[in-house]
Amino acid sequence: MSAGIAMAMLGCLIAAMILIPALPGYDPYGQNLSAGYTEPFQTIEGKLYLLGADALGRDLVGRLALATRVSLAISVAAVAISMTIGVTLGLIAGFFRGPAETAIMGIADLQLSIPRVLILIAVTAIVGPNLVNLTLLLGLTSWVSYGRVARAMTLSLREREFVLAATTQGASPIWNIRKHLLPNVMPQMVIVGSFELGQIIILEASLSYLGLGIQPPLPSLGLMISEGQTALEINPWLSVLPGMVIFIVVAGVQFISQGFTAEGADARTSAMAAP
Amino acid sequence: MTDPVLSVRNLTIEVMTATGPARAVENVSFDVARGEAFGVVGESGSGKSLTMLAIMGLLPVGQVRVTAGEILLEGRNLLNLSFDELRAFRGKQVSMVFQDPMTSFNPVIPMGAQIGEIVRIHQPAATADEVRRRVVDLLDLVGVPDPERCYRQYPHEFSGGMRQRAMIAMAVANDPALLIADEPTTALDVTIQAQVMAVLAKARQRTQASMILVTHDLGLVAESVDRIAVMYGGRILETGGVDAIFEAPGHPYTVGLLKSLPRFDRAVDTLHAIPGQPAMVGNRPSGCLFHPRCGLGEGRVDCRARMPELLNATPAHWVACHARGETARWATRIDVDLRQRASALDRAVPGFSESQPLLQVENLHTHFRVARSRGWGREVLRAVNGVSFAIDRRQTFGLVGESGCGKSTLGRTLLGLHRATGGRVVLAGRDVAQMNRSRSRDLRRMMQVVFQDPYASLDPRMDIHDIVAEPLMINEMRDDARVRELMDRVGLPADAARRKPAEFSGGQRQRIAIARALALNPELIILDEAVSSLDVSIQAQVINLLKQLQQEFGIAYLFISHNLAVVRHVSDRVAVMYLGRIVEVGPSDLVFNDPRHPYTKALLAAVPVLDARRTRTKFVLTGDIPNPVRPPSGCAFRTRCALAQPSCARAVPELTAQGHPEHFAACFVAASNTPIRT
Repeated sequence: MSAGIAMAMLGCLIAAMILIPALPGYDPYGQNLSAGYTEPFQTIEGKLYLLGADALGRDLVGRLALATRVSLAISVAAVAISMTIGVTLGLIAGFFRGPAETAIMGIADLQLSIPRVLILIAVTAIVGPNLVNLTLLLGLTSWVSYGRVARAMTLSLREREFVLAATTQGASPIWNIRKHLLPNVMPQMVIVGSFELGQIIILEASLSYLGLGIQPPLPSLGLMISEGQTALEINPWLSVLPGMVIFIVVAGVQFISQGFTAEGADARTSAMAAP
Repeated sequence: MTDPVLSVRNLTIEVMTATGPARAVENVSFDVARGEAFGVVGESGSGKSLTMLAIMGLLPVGQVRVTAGEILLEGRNLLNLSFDELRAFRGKQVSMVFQDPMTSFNPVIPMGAQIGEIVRIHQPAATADEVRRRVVDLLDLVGVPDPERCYRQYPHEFSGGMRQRAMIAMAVANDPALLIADEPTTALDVTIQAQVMAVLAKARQRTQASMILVTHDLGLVAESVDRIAVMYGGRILETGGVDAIFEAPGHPYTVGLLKSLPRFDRAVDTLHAIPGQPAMVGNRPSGCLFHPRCGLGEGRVDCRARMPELLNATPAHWVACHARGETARWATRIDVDLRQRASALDRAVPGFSESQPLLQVENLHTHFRVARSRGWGREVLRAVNGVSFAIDRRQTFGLVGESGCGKSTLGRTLLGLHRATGGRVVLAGRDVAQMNRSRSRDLRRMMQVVFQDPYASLDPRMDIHDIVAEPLMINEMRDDARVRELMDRVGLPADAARRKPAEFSGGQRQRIAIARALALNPELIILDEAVSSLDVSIQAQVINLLKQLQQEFGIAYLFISHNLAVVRHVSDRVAVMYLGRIVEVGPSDLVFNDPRHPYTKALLAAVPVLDARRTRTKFVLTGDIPNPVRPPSGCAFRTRCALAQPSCARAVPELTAQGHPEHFAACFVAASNTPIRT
């Protein structure tokens, strides 16, 4: 139920992001200094500013659409990268045990003990802030939760009789991982991924807010909040609106993942129930 | 019947299914007299547990509700009571012993406090000291050794049998009028089961409680109750005195159940198997629930049209069958049929004369390093501790023993799933351990396995075709025709190929696992408790299938089980294991008819059998199975053995011949053939 509402909410948002830039008059970079700090629903020089404009008179509708696309692209790519790394390492650690597991889990614990923002700030200071670096960094530092869950599931799955039976028929570890472990681990990974997506959107926003993420004039949701902050008394909507978009995206994804969890519960209990 | 403790009248329970509400229990009525032991027998899905939960008022809220009938306990209808009134009833008037002793206690509260809680709820005025004394008293009643010490211990420090004793102590804490025991010993080993049933009987004697024993084990019922009700598909099909029913069952379903039960006291070659699958909730047939599986009705109009009423066969024996007058005649016909089919099977019992056994195991050891239960470091668990035996081609070798005896570890070591610590495994003349990895993998393909848990042994994300095809795919021998042939051979419908395991029942899943094991044309299949989790009627189907496949393909089986009757039924030769060693081995007739090792004797004595009350004196083995990490010195069985001598502690007995060149037992005392005094 709530998953349906969330999906409709996200659907509208994504449709808007795709359709709006195609319409004339919503150029995210087009400035009009006489429209600076326009509040929502005002008409300046015959043009309706539906959500207002920023200090340089750029239409907020166009900028929000672009910013949402940028933020979502970064976080979806980062989730894909971190899921790939995390699942691979988790499967290796759980299936082969031994030194590989010790090393992988050691690195995971090490990384958990240092705040992620601290790592990101330090590394960005060295490699420089841009879209690609930001995506890679977010992806490389977020694998731990996938890795831990994948390992825990693998530990129990590898003792399951269907894996043992395949082993007695001559299956190699690669076969078992590809045919039995990965397909049974993936549904859980999608659920972890949907939680992580929300986190990464917020993380991206905070980094951009600190000036370590997306660089102007390209907008991102976090950057827009940061830019709007200097004019909170003149036009608070400049920060509030991108904040609301973040809220819709994160809440939407969370609700959908909860729907996944409830729906997936049957499949997972049948896969994980027996000891 | 005057003044019954419990009287269930026309109870109907509905559950929510995917397709809407369905009747899980329908029109069930029975009485339990004061002090009586009443048995409820049925396979999974028969509604027996749901009925008991309804009596306790523990039906899951929301999905399950009582739609008709009444449950009168001491004359009051439990269904009309408020929650608070019901609370006063539970524990005080009626209490329950659950099946799984591992999950029925809160792991973070000491045992004494948990039992004390029950006492305190119904006796709020009792002082802490009174409660404590009462609990220690109860623990003593159920035979927990050193109750003062156990009072402070946590549930994990108790063995399964001890926990079930504590559970019984809890259940009788407030002298309830009625005790419901739902499969109380199903999770326990057979020697421990005998102890727990004895404790239950003693506790009942003390409290004068009536009891309902819910179980699928017909032998257990025969030994422990006065009257039974046989449930199927949510209805009672037959009810009456246990002796009368087992002697002359009135319903074809009861006949089928009794005849599908392997008996270790009587050798039969083929089991009667009730065809088809049980009637599950939401998918019940019209007319008589049992008619699609019934061999007596054979599609009579009446049977298909309406459900028969429970009617008197004799004054105290009620049967719900349209053809109940013909049951006895039909039952004898089954026996004739079975005998004919058995004589049709050519039964060449292979001896040791053949040139070379298929599998030869010599002095096999499998040790594990396990974390100490207390303190730092590791210690060695000798799960398999010097085991030797041989299996001939086309032979079934049975391996019996209780939990922790190493029988499953042994099977897994042979399969290469555990690394052997020492010893030799020679398969078809070649030493498996001597070969390099890929060669030994080739050789091991001659051995396949079917595991116990039909739910864990199939990948839930694959369809049936892919599961059966997997062994072929692994070895790059894709062959869809062979997959279809295998599925047909084990009795799976062709349309099963594209369905997922979740759509199949336990028995069908086990057939799928068997088809998968057959795919590579193995010489030996290791059946690790392969029929243990199946219902009796389904178990008989699978056992018959296994025997038939053996005839057809000439496979040898290593049949690992804790169920002596099943092992007796299928095996040519049998080995009995105790704490990592074989204590007795020989042809199955000799081992079962003339057991030499005191442990084998005790095991056989502990198994409940249908006509136990008349033919046997009960002999209960005392004590728990020792911790396999620290087995007793010398003969590991001496701590529980009635014949133990001081000398038994000094040396480990060797297997020695016992009056027959192929019958061996490892006991210092057995050779003298002293009868066991109890």
